Amino acid sequence: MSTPNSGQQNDIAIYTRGVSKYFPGVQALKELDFEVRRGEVHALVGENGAGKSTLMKIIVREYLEDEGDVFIDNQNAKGMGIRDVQQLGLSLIHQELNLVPMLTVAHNICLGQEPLTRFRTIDWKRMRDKAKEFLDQISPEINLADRVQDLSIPHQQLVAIARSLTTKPRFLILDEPTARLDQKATENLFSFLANVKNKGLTVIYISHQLEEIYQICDRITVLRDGKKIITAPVNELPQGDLIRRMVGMEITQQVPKEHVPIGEVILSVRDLSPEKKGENINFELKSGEILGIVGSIGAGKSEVAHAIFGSDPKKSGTILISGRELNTRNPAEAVNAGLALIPEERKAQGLVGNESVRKNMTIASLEKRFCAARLWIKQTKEKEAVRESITTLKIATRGTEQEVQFLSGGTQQKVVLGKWLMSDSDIYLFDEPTKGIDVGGKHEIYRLIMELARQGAGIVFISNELPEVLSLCDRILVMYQGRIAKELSATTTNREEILFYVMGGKENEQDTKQSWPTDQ
Amino acid sequence: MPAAVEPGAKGSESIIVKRLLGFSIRYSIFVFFGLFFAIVTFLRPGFMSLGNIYDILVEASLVTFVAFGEAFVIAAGAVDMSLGNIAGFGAMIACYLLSVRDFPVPVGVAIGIGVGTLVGLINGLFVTRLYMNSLVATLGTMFMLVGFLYMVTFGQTIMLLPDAFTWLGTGSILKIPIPIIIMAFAFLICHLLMEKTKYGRTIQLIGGNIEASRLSGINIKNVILFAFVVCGLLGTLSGILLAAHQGLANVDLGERFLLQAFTAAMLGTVIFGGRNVMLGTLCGSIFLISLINGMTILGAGPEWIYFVQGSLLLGAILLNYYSKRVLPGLYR
Amino acid sequence: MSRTQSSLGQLISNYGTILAFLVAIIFFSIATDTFFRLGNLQNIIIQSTALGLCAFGLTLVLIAGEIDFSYGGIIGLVGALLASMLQQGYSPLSATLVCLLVGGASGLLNALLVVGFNLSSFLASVAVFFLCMGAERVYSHGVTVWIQNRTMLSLVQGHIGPVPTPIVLLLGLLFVCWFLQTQTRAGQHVRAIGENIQAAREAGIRTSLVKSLVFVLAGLLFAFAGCLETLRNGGAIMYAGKQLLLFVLAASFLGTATFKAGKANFPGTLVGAFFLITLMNGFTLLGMKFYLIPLAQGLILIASVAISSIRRGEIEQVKF
Repeated sequence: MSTPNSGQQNDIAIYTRGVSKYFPGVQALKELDFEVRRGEVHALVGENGAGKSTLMKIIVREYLEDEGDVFIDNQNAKGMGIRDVQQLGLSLIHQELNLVPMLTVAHNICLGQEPLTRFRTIDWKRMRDKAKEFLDQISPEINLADRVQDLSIPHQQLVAIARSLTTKPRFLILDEPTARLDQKATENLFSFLANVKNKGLTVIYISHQLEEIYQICDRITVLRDGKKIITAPVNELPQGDLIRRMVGMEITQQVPKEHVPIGEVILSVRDLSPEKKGENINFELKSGEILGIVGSIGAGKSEVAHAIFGSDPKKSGTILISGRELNTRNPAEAVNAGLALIPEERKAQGLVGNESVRKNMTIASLEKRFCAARLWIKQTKEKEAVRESITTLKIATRGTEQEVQFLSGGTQQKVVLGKWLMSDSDIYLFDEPTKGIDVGGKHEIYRLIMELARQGAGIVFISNELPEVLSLCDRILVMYQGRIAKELSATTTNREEILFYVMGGKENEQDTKQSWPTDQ
Repeated sequence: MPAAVEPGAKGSESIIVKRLLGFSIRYSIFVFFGLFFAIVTFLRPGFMSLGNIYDILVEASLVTFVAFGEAFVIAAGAVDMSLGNIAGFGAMIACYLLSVRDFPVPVGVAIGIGVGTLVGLINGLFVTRLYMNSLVATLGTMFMLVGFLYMVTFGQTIMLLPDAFTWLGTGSILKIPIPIIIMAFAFLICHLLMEKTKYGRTIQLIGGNIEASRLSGINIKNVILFAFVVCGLLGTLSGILLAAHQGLANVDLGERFLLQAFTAAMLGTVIFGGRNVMLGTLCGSIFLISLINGMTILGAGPEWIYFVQGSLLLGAILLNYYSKRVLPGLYR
Repeated sequence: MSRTQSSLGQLISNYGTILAFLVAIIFFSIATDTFFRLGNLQNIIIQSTALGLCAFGLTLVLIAGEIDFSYGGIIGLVGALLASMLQQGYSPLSATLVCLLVGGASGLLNALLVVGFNLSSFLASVAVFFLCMGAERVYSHGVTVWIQNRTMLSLVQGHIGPVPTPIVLLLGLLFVCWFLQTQTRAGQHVRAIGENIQAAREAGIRTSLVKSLVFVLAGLLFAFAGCLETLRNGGAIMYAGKQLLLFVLAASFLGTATFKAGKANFPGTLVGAFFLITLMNGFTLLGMKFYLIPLAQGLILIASVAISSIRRGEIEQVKF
């Protein structure tokens, strides 16, 4: 139904009608009708790029819609800004934990609104009571007097959620709230959600976790490619149907997969437990092979790459390059051993913005290729090599001396890629390499990766865009909550199956034990 | 993907205005000094006499080494506040050995330089192994050096220096004062080091984005350590030349270097738009010394000169900030 | 977040300064018989007054997450102003007010540069430092001006009841600063800004206003310290601020290793100040050569900072 009829208007908390949003190069939302009833917990699901976060940003007025209407609490949100919708009682809980580490839990919850005594000093007792009021709703076991910096990450996330309750929101949007939570904390969150349902709090719950959706949500809306596919009560949409609708039956554009000869094992990862997240990661990579790693936010994919590369510390684990153990305490050693990491944040981690294309491209291979007597840079040779790279990789720059901060995202990524190509690495770790790049650019990067594999390099391809993972990779590792949940072969699996495991599905669950039809 | 493609670059109409702005910021320094020179020469023609220019250049050459050293450290994203004292300390040691202990000149000078370089190394270790903030660490070494300086001579001035040594600071070859010759060489070496060698390149990259450099396999610790060592070495050279020039060494030697070196190095990062840092630093120190020289000729007291130096430093910092942070933003 | 640290390491970073302080007191008491006497101990506290006050100003700025070197110049400038105004016959009250005004103005300049122009506080305050030093030099022409005014001098050398005035001032101000910072909303907001400015903004705190106030208050404290220092010296000595430069920094950093604070705090800073003055006092009593003092100063500063920085694990760059 596209328009709620007036008699039922009191039941609808938030709705959008015919909302469209266009960004250069992509239609993010297409005539979307979306409605959330008062007092329900409404799940919003969809693959990466389906439009979930764009839709939410439009609702909280961080973005403005190109077409269509947005209604919050029966009011047209047309002229409203972020603060206005906050006044209406809308609250979005996002990824950053904005807490003050040295202050106590109680103080963090009441920050900015600390109760005062007669003498204008902080009334600590009343503050504790006030904080307790909100914290108890979420987690009775967190100690109010503890400093936030002493809490575990899951507890910190719960405190952040408690904090958002102090504005007495009536509509709560939770974006992947359990990404940082552990088992117990998740239970706390769920009991909280179960309680508030009765008090009229409306919740939009964006998540990738099957278990959660089916446990606490009332209705589900599936988005795909910017359109709403279906909205249904949770008990009318079994897991298999859900996933099928998320994925659709379209045959996506695939890069014709060449048959590349696969050689010996060139990378062995044993019992790797990165310091920040992840446990007991084990896998092997052969030369010529492209191994995909997929998983939702918080699954721990980047952490694995950085731990292998040595840029982040690890609690335990052994890395073997062609049989020899690598003691990666820092990236310099990894690079010497033939590893390359193309990081997720290309501006912050991959490039030196105010320097030229040339200097950025040769940064990893200076000594290896362009230095005489390990000291003097042979600039003519350097320029030649960079020019060659620019041509081969089709890098859209005015020349070798252009500052990289002025290049487009896709071009920047190619410079990063070019940097590693120049250093003749054997093993490439790609962390979300096509994020934020247009279709044309993506395909060029796929082509380059395939070329690398053809030349015998081993490739780890971390991504959440399942179509590209399926078309590029030979094998796929699905990570879930810091562990490898499942290994799949690209030729025998399909998007539904991958998505199933990404979302935490377990193999032996009865209602989902069915053979996933492969779409070819 | 909704955020797939970043919003396109701003309209090209305003590019011209922005280019003009950038150009004027960068070259405003030349304009400023050009005006200054014109005014001073108009009021006191002697300013532009050959003799005065020589004096300026000799004076500038003494400061230039420290300035180059500081420039290396700043390029790597740190500061060295102990540079003035390193100059003094190294010079003191050298002079002590030459005057009191009768060491041969080359040996004494070499040991002095060695000591200063060692201090630079210690500074570098504080920053790269103890992860201290470079400002605080070098402030600490600065004070320690003051103490050490006194220990060498118990406050007394060393005056009887061998002629071979003072020749370095006062003599000339082919009518060109030696300090200027040494400065020219130092400039050449520093420029080549910074622009053409692996070390200089990695220093610049680290200064640009330390994380990206780290993830590209650069050994951050060693490179920054190197910058501090070079800084110590160059600083000591300044001190030794100054002692040779003055003919004496006392505990105050090198005190004034810090402010001047810092100002010159800061100017170096903005003149020429951030490229050719060493040339910029050279120009910066020449400009600075000419400024002081000109003001003295015009009769300004030492207080005013100090005040103006401080303002120039502030101006250089503002310019640096503006060209690094604001200008690139205009282009997006 | 928390790595496994040796308990010794934790002990040092939590209570290191207090321990070192106690060790020093014990050492000096044993090594000389003139140390542990009421007169000497009082002396130490009196000598710590200007240092402590100045360090309070710096501590406030550190709590707000910035740094401030301008005191190096402000102290000298204020001293010169105070001495010469008294000599010219201005009343003590107006002279002091002018000094405070100058301090506040410097703080305002800092605020303008840091909050308004978004410069790094490091550079901005260094620039203000040099400016003030220059201004001092211009104003005083390098001449030392002695203070003859009895009223003012008695302020510093007198007593309130049985307790010397400076001690009352110092402890009084400590209490005021500590109280305001820990018990008022504004004080806690300053800490919030210093720790996570994003969180503070989200909580609705007006960060620009608060930060600016912090700089101005610090400037006032610096000016106050400058007046006291000048009075204690009996006159305005050129570049008086430079001498204190390091001690003030060291006191504040040492303060982070007390009372399990981990960050800058007022009581800790006071302990740090006492510790440093005790060292100087003890060394002098032991007959240590005067030039070894800067040596010790530098060493202590480095040690006090290295204690906490060594656990950082990554190199800290200076933002330009």
